[in-house]
Amino acid sequence: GRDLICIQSMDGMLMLFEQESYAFGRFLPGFLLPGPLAYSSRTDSFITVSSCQQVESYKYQVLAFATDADERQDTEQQKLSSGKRLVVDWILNIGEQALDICIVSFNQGASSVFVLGERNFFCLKDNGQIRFMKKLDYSPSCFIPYCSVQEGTVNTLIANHSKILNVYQDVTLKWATQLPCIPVSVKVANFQDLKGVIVTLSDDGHLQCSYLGTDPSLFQAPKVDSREINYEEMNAEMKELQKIIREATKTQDILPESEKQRDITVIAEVSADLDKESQAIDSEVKAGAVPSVTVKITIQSRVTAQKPSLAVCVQAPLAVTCDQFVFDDLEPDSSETVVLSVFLKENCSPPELEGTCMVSYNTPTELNPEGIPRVSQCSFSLPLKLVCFPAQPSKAANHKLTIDTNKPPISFVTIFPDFVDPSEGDQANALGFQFLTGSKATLLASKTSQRYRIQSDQLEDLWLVTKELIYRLEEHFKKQNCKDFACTFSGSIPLQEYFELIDRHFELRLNAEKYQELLSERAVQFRAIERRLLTRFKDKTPAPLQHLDTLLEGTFREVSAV
Amino acid sequence: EPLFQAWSYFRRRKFRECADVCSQLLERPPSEQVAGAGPGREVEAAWSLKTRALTEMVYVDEIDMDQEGIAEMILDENAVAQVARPGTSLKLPGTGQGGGPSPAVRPVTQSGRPITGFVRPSTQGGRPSTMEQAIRTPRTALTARPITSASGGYIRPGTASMLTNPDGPFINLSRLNLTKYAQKPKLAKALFEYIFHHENDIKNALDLAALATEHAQFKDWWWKVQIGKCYYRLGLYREAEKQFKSALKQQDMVDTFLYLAKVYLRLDQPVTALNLFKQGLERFPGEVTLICGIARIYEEMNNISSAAEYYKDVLKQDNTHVEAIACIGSNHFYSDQPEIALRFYRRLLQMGVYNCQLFNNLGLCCFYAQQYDMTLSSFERALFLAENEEETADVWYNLGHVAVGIGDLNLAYQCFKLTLVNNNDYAEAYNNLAVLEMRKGHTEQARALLQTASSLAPHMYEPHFNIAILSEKVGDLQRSYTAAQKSEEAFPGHVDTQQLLKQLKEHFAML
Repeated sequence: GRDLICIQSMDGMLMLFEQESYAFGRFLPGFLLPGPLAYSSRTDSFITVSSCQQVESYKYQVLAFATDADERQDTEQQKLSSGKRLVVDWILNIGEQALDICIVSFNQGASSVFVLGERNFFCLKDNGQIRFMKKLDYSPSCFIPYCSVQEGTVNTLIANHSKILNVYQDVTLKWATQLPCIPVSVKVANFQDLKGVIVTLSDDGHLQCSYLGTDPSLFQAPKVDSREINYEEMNAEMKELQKIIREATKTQDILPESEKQRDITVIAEVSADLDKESQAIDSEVKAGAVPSVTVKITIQSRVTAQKPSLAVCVQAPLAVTCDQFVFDDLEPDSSETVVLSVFLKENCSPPELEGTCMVSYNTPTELNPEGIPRVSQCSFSLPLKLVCFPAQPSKAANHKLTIDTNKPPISFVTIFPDFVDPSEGDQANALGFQFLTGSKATLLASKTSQRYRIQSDQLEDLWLVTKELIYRLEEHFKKQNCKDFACTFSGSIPLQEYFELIDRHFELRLNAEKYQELLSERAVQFRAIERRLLTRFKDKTPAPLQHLDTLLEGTFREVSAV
Repeated sequence: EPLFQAWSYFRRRKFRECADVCSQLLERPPSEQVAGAGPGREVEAAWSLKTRALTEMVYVDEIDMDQEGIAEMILDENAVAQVARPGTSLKLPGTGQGGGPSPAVRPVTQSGRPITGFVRPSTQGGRPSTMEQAIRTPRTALTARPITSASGGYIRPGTASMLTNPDGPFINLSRLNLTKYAQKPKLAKALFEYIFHHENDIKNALDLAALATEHAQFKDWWWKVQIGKCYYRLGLYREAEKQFKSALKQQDMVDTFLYLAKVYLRLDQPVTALNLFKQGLERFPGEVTLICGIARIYEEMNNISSAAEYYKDVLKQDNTHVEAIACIGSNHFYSDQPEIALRFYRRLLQMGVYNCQLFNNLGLCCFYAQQYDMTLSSFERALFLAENEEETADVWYNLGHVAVGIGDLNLAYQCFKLTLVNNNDYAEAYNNLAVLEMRKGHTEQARALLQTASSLAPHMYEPHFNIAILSEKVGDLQRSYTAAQKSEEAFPGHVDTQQLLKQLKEHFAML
């Protein structure tokens, strides 16, 4: 007939009161943060979940007579009189923190301990064995086992943080219902003429009594804004749009805009002279000084351009000192200028002496603040002096090429002023080119006929000189307003040599492919050995490596060699 | 009482407030701290609470995390047999013992598995057989696979610490004396979860777990499971298996079963995993996660009918299970019962699933169930709800389908174009657009589109087959033959391809 009250404090002390009078207090061992606490009358014990993520059960008897685990300074006497240290009745490791504990016994036979963990829901027997458990795929907030309808089962209400109250019969979901708020506590109450009311208490103190309704709380999808449809207007708009679409589909390819409409113009100026101090970096050319030439690129913008970036590209073996530039957003009618140098990087003559620079930028429009991506580009040509310098002409050569023109020959002093030493005078009818890579080419002009001859020991060296010659001749005659200038080649094209070169190229290609195959084969082998080694090393019992390491090293060397 | 306040915040899942209160507690000078049962106890309590709060903020159930990188797949030394018997391995697609639908009816993923009704992390990519193939597999926005799992999805949880604390992480792991903490079981578990989930530092977590389990004299199953988790993350599956098995011996837990099954799946032993799940079901009858695991395995093994059975079991236990409803729905859809599928999808809508994909499915179901009035409004909503361009592309693709269905080829053409505007890697749209172009007689454009489609999705047989037909029409028999062969490779049972091949062979024989 007496009421006993047990209070757990934040520091882990259990205080027991008999009616109003303080009976005793006890510290729980290994206490850190308070867990849920419940009293089981059948076994006369307190059940809690400790910070070690264990369900622990303490007998009342043991609590009453035990000394505090922490009070080590007890005298001998006290120890003798007050019995032993606090010993737990049983422990069950559930591996997670618990939110609540409930002990119920609906039928006389067995009582069950229900523990609501953070991720699982447990039902334990009196002695701490799991009767059943259920993994929850939501984070629960509170629960109450309330009654048993069927023999041997218990119904439970579990509320969760997504505002749903679930009704379980053992582990089977029987009903799910939506709540207006997240409850912190749920109970089933019986009032005078109301039975089995679900009472929930919310975070902000709202108490709510409710029944499980049969009206499903259907999810109402929000309406898409449906306006009154004016069919005539719609028709007109549709026609308009159809027209636009038809227009758009007619011009399948997106044609580049004409130069005039360009919002951004790019101008590249190649300086006439080579740099006084060569800007070449890491050049592999063996010749002593590698010349470089300065290119000045100017970007002029007529509109606002966002994120403009400039890319300069020249064909290998040429290289630039810097090939990427990023600018701040350009205002209308503003310009940016960058300066860079071009030089010969690899040890072979380039196929062409041209470069391109490209600017990509976004032009924002009213509808599209991100901007429409656009590109503008320009190309520039580099001087021949970048890859060769004047040298003594040589008479004999393996490959010769003769070009006929329909105009009298022009002195080299006029068309190759940068290669001919003016002191030699007009008579010079032979011009030598020494490429940086080492080979030589000679240009001969016939004094009597309208012919030029280019000769070199290597076929490929003819090209650059020939191109330059034709280009300069054309320029020269354009200046003189001579429109019917033409160059022709009458001799037989040196196809044989050309084919030989192609054959060699093809062979190299084949070789490259072969090497690639070899490389992938070796890589496969390497991975296989790695795998074997991995298994070896993972084994608890170290087995001899059986020269796998040597094999690995060998393969690695092969891979690197390839 | 600030500690109580923090604890209350924690219970109400207001973790940020909880962490803030705990930080204030921890910053107080030691003299002010009220000595409770012992000095420093309150500090420990606040510390532990803060670790828990920070962990909960970024907690993701480890069971659902699964991402297999290329490197793991290639250096997978755990493979039991290179050539598995049919029905015992997940590596070989199409090993289902009948019951699996043909790719003509149900689209397949890259690995040749029918697509499932629910997107899970591991359902997307297949297992390429060599490194070269893995690297060459076309990567689109949806199938991109990280090179190693360490660089994939784990990045996000890993960076959480930097986001939450701009002035350095809460716990400096390198300076932590793990041995000391391992001897305090009350602190160690919270600390472990913090290291594992929040800091994502598996090696330190493993060290701590190893020390702690030693301290617990190998009697704590929880630590064994944690060690197993660490081993799993590190790719030591056999060791993980041992730990999980040993944990199961001590204490049956649902989670342990799930982890162990995950290990078996990774070791490519689906049958063992199935048995394990069934064993787990004997212990915990009616456990939804276990049944669902069985269903997923059957689905991956192409045994759709069994999977549907188990999904139905799931619904018997928990009739609000979204994954089960979605999977059964898609199963009905692909077995020509759009009306029934429609009912499942409407159930999902009732439950409050409100996203683009659902309306997309609803729209398609409505269309095939001949409820045309609902079709367009569903798609309208889907477009309204689409969160990114991939989703928008899906909706436009389906609208294109509907347009083809009602014969409005012009609209269909525009829809497919819009699909491509939204998602430039949409192979199916390329294919369909090509068919439309073919009808218009633009052969060259059709060919270009088809080639794009086939290079984007070599696993689809349709583009190959269409190229074959197209080439055959214009008389390019050689190309037709190679394309037909590719088509046959992608879908061996395709009758039209076989007929075409036969026809071509006769042609060649005549020549």
